[in-house]
Amino acid sequence: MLNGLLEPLAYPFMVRGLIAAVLVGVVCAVLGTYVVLRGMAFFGDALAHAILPGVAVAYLLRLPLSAGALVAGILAAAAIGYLQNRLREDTAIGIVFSGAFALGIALLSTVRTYTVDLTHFLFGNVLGVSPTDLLITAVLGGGVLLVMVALHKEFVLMAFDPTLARVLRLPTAFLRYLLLLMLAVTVVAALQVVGVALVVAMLVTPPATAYLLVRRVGPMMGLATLFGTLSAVLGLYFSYYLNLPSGPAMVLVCTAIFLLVFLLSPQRRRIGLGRRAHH
Amino acid sequence: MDSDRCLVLRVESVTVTYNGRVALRDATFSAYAGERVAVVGPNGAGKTTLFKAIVGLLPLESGTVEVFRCNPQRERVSIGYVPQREEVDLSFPVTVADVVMMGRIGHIGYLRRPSRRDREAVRQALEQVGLTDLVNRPLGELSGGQIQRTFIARALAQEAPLLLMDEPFAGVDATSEEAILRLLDLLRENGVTVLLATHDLRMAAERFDRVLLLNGEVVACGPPGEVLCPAALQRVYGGQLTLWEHERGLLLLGDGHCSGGA
Repeated sequence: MLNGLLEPLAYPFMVRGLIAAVLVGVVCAVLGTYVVLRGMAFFGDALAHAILPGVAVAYLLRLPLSAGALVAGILAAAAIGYLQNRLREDTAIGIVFSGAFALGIALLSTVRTYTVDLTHFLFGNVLGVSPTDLLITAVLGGGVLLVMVALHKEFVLMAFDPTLARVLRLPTAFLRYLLLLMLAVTVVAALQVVGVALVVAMLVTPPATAYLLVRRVGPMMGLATLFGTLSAVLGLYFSYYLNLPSGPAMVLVCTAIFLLVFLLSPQRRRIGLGRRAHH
Repeated sequence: MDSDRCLVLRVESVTVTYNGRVALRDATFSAYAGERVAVVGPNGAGKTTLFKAIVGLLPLESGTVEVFRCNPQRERVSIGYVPQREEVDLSFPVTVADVVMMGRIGHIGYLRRPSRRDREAVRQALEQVGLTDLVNRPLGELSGGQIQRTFIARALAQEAPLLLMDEPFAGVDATSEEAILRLLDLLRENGVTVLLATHDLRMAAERFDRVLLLNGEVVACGPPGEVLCPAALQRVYGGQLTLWEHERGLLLLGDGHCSGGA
């Protein structure tokens, strides 16, 4: 058993994959806690899909993928915000995300190695993480963690009671856009590990699992980090031994932990977060 | 000391539009240090709109709001605001102490953790509303009255000299109502000005210094005995109101909209 865990680490690509997986597990769990508390799961999923055209353009032009992804993520968030003036938010999200995703697939289909590349972007390729990729993931993920730690109490207040945030004269618009930016950066950081199609699971499932067990934001975030890291690491090994794409492997572990906790934890409450009575 | 005449809030010719409709027209009134003002009027009379305009949550169409001669729309003035209870997300994983500490965020500042001074303010606020025993209780496990008191404690922890409470008595039990009334007396001693929206006209008449009668505009503002006269009330409430005479001549009134009480 122990040998089975240690043996793959003889390969440098596996070590890089492990470090990247842990980073992504941690960053997604921390940011995901706010995503779950604010009821932004659909937005997170949409943003992840919407970065595909940016990735495709960068790939075709041989530019850094993360740069293209980041630009596309910011454009998508801005487009959703703009459409929201005339449409309901979830409608605006649906339009932008499907349109952008289709554009991304169309662009990638012009490449000869289409199927392989598309699979990697959609579902992750953690075993193909290069030293440069790892550095980018570390810088982006570290940046997100730093911002989230620095503004933790402000973000919790924004999630719980935006009215008080405004009464206390916090820069609410700035904080809202900053959270969206952090979401875009996290998706980009997680791109190679889980892929755009499944990153939302790493954002939502570990915090949701933690929510079933604890009743304060701090412990929820800590436990989510534990579940996220565990899923990422176990998923990596499944990916290695069973030759599965890394994203689905990690997400399946994540989902299994959730189901286990859901069935075994006392049935105290349902997840009704983000559903607040509006005035 | 002339502290009870110290001007705390001045609302002048304030008009607020909300969803394309004038919700409050040309409202003018003032409040002084330590004063307790009941804001009454039927549903849709503009009570909540007035409060939101004062704290700066709604933009003013015209007019000015001055708090200590500052404009809360632009400057950082500390006003405690206790909104109506249905705006609260009860599934959020926070304890009573967590919620009250949120009121301290303005004092704590960026990149800092709560100091001993902040924790002391939270402890004191919880003591004042009588929730010391429930400090670590999750918000979702509280009764309606306890939730209301938690949010009042949060406003107290802000240590604001002006407190706006939007229907704090709606749907609370007798214990909480008693605790809130006791708190109002304590606030008066500390010189805190309180504006409180209520449907309970009897309480407005008996426990408040002045009554602000709203119906899309300020109908009357003054001592309860003057404002709560049958003529003005009939004009505002129409037939939805029952009036009868108390033996000392004081009016006891039932508001047709009243959903509060135990």
